[in-house]
Amino acid sequence: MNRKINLVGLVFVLFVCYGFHSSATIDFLVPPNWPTPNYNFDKNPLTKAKIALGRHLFYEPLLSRDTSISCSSCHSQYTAFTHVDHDLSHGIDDRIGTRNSPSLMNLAWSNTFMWDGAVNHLDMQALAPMTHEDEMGDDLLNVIQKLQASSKYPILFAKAFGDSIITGEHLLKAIAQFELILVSANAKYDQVMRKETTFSVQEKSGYALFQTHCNSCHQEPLFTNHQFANNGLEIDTTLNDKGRMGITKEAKDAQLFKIPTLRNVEFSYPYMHDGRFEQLSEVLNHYVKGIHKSATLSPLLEEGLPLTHEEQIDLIAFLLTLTDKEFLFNPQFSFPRK
Amino acid sequence: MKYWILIIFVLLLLVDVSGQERVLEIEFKAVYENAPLVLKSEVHQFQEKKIVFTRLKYYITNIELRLGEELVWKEKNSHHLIDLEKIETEKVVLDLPEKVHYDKISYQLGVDSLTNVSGAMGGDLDPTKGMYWAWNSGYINFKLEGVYEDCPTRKNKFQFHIGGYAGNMATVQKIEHGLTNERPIVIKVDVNQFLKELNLVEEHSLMRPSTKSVALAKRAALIFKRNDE
Repeated sequence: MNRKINLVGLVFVLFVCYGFHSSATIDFLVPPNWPTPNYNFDKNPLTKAKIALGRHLFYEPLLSRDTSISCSSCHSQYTAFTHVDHDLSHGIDDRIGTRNSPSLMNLAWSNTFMWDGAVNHLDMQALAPMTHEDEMGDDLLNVIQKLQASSKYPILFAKAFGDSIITGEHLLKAIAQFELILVSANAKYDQVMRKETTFSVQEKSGYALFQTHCNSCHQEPLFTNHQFANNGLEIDTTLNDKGRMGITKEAKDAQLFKIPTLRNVEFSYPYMHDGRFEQLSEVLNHYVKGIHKSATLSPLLEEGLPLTHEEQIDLIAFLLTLTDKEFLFNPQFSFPRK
Repeated sequence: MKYWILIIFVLLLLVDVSGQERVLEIEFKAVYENAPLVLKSEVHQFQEKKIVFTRLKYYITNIELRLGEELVWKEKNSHHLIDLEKIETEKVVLDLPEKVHYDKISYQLGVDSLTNVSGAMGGDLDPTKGMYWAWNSGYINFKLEGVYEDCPTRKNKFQFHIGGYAGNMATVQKIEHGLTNERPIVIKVDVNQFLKELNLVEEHSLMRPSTKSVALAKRAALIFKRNDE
């Protein structure tokens, strides 16, 4: 009898410990010399249970109308959380969208989302693909009903939020938590900055070229300044995508697109909002001699970038130092097997 | 002796409570001209053609009470989604502290810009409520949908989703009413007043922030009237 009570007591203590442990707030670690994140963690404090729930949801095809597509379908970890091999990303029923899915990393520092900045907060981002007819094609209430009816999710939501009744707020906050921990800050570049290693001669030359020609938009250490720009792409008349102007309705925003991060750029091909370039060499070729002039072209690109062939090779050598293998193969970011 | 103190205390409490109205109720009554607005089942007339309403939803936020120009009370987390399909949402009940004297009430029609950029919210602001734009972030402040005989749209539907929070696309509107002793406070919302200057044959669908939305938001604010206004 006594032993039985002890056992029950022990299980209870373990349960309480586990519960306490999984609901304890986790500090978001800002890499040394990085700016303050834009995300307000006070409104959605990170916990182990919420991150775990967000990870399950990120890989969950129930989020799409026909249970065929999850977030990871267009945001695959091994390719910097983007969709490779397709210029335009595709969703349910083989429907094809109008843009190339962006890579996902260091999102706590972003202030707008999507190529045109249509989404104003990381929490609200997942709502867009979930409900777009060419992407996951479902609606939020229906997704919640499916999750509520599953055996797994009411338990995971209860662990994370203390409530097994699923709400839109909780669903979106959990997904945001998983996305927030996708931090890439351990590329060779970062190790060089931390003085743990050094650039090769070629990489060093490339870094100098980068600082001269690229850094004003693709600003270190995030390799984006979070602004929008027209980088001289001739408009694709099959898409007629006006970018930021579609949101603001202002002519000055015609063909402006979000400046993407260059971190893990080796793996995030194809490049540009419509995935028109497959190779980094094509991208550089565009900046050197492919700039298409229009009223809203970035003034920094009017003359094109004066890079010789050798300089372009050095620049690419530097861009490859932005590859973060630890990030790309971090088991904490991959499909949750249990 | 002890009992006496207790009884006096309870009596004082009762007197105090009965002397102050601690609960203030506001009822939002949707009407079409002078008749109650009934969704789906009732056929109304608009410019001599049949019109049926299928949805009326809007946010009432930031409720404040004033005495003269002085702010005497404001509701915390003040966000109420009024949905004609859910009659329980038509009545907003405010819990006031003791001894608040006021002669004016003000509120906003729509969700303010700070809330619009603050991420996922719960309760009436949960994006499951069908009042959030996924592809151009922001709340829909006022939603009116229905069927009008002459609308050249699929199934003759019209839909006005009015929202937008940024810069010159901001649609949130402040509304203020002077108060009498009438309780609950009844606010009439006459949808006919909103539609009357529109040509539904040409203007029938509005589903994103625009200058037109701003103009219609201003008009929507004018249809909220206290009984004798």
